[in-house]
Amino acid sequence: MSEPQHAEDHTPHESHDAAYWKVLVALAVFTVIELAIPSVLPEPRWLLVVLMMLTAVAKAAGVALYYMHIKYEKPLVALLAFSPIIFVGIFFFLIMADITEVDKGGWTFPETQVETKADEAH
Amino acid sequence: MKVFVTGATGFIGRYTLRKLSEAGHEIRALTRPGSEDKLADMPDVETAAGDINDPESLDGAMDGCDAVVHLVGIIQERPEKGVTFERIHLEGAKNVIDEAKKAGVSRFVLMSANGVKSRKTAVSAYQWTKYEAEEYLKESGLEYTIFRPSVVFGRPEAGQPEFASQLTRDLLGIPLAPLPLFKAGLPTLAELVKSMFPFAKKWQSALASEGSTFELQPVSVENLSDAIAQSVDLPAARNMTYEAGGRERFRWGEMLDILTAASGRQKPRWKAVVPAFMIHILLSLPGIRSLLPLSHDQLDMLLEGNVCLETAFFRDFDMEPIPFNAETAAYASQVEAVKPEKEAEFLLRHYDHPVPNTGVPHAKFGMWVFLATEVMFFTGLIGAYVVLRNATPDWPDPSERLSLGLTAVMTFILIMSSVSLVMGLSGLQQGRMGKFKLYFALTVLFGATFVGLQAYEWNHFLAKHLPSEDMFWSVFYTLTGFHGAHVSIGVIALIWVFVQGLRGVYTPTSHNTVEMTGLYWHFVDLVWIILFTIIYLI
Repeated sequence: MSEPQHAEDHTPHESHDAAYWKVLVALAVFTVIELAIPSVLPEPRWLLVVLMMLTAVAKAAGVALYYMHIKYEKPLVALLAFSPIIFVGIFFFLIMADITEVDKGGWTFPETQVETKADEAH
Repeated sequence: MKVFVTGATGFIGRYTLRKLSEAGHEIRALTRPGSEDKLADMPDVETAAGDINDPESLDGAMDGCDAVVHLVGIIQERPEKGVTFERIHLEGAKNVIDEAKKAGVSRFVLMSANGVKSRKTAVSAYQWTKYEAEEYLKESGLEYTIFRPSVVFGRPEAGQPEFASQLTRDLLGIPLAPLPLFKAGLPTLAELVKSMFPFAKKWQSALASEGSTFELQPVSVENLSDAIAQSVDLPAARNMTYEAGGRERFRWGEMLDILTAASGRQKPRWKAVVPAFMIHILLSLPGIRSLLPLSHDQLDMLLEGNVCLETAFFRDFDMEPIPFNAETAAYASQVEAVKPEKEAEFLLRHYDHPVPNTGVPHAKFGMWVFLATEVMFFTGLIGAYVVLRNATPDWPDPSERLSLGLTAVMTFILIMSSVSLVMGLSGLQQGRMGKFKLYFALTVLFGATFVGLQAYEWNHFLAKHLPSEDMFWSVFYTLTGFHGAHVSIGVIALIWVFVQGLRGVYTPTSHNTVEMTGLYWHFVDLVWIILFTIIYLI
């Protein structure tokens, strides 16, 4: 609770300014890469999606770690910040059933089924 | 007689000083250096600066005293500050006992606790440390009197821990919620059912006596301090250990009903059975400990009950037993936790500074929990998008429908706003207000520009495409709409914080609101990074 301790908490911030600008440059570069990926590498599509998502997650991580200070905070903050990711994982696992279907022991995209339905509608 | 008292500024200590003084004894009180002021209202009391954990500071402190009353004790450990039961109850007591031997006092009065037991059988270090202190005293050769009180009630001074006022504040103070009847093991089905009906009088009164089976035997601080004061020179109290309890025993639920009545309420409050293991699990979660008014140790000791044989206590000391009832406990709802003038300071400290148990300020902790819920909110939306997109044949290529150039600019502006915000905060932390104002103004500008561009985009698209047109537009407006609402709220918050900053509200050491608003703003930026990719690019 003492003041010196508190002052100590904040002194490291002075040296972060340089890191903030570096992160900005990284974010800008990643954004340009993202914009370029579809024209440079349109196929295969799964690779494009994976690359795009990886770039987006890297950018998001940069914001969270540096701008939201998780990197400089106590572990508890990181725990709080990353805890929802577990639930995000559970959530997307559960909606897998809506995206894919179990077919003879493997996960496949239900493209055929959707197309059939669409054909019927026409 | 001249009596040396430790723990004199505590709850029982203050009462004991008064009783000793009334009995005509001279008093020398040990106070921690810097705490002498706490006894300023008792001019007759001589103070000696010292610390029970610093044997050198005790050197000669008891010279000329005939008796020592050792009252120092703690209820909760703070290991990060070196305050543990072992250090305070055992090591501290040993130091005081050693010094008392040197000073040649004729009677040593030790404040122990009901239910103390050896290391092997204790449920808490609280119990065995006090027990070993007793043993050390008995072997010291000094004439002793030991008091083992059950829970002690009586009007405390502000900030002093006292069980009835703490219970009133921590349990009864929460409106509407049921009062917990702690139970070791699982509740029966009947108990669960009864717990759910707050207005079923018969069931609730049955729960009060049956829900929690452990009992307490509250003793008045007046009686206890009276006995302590008498014990310093009472021949009958020589080498005696007194279990100090009131004349009546109460089950936990009955106790809660008494406190409810003491607070002026006509009817008993709703009570519900709560398995103790659930509280233990709750207490084990990070950060929860500081939010709940009890610890693992306290819960375990509570479940053991706290009753004793009070016969000798009331036989040897000349006093009238003070009962525990709605009248004698009426003070419990009137005691303030902290003196009013200190309250602002207290609140500020707990808002701005890390709290010992989590090391993270409450505001920041709360903000992160809120952001975790926001993550789930957007996860829901994005999940819906993924499912709908997969179920929709011929999902259009976003670049054919949306303007990538404009959104790329928007994305860059939002990222710029994040960096300007951290730069502004960093300026504030360095005390460079010019830097703070410049970057904060830029942040507000960037944020507002983003909202403006999005409004332009929406306006442009809405003229041709309504959300109901197809699945693509429906999803597009939903996701960017919710995000835009977040950004708009963020801009309003930023403007407010900026104005407050211009007015000089924030200082290098106190600017939590700026930091919390910043966290929210960066989060909104982070969400946009994901949305931009999945809606506009993929």
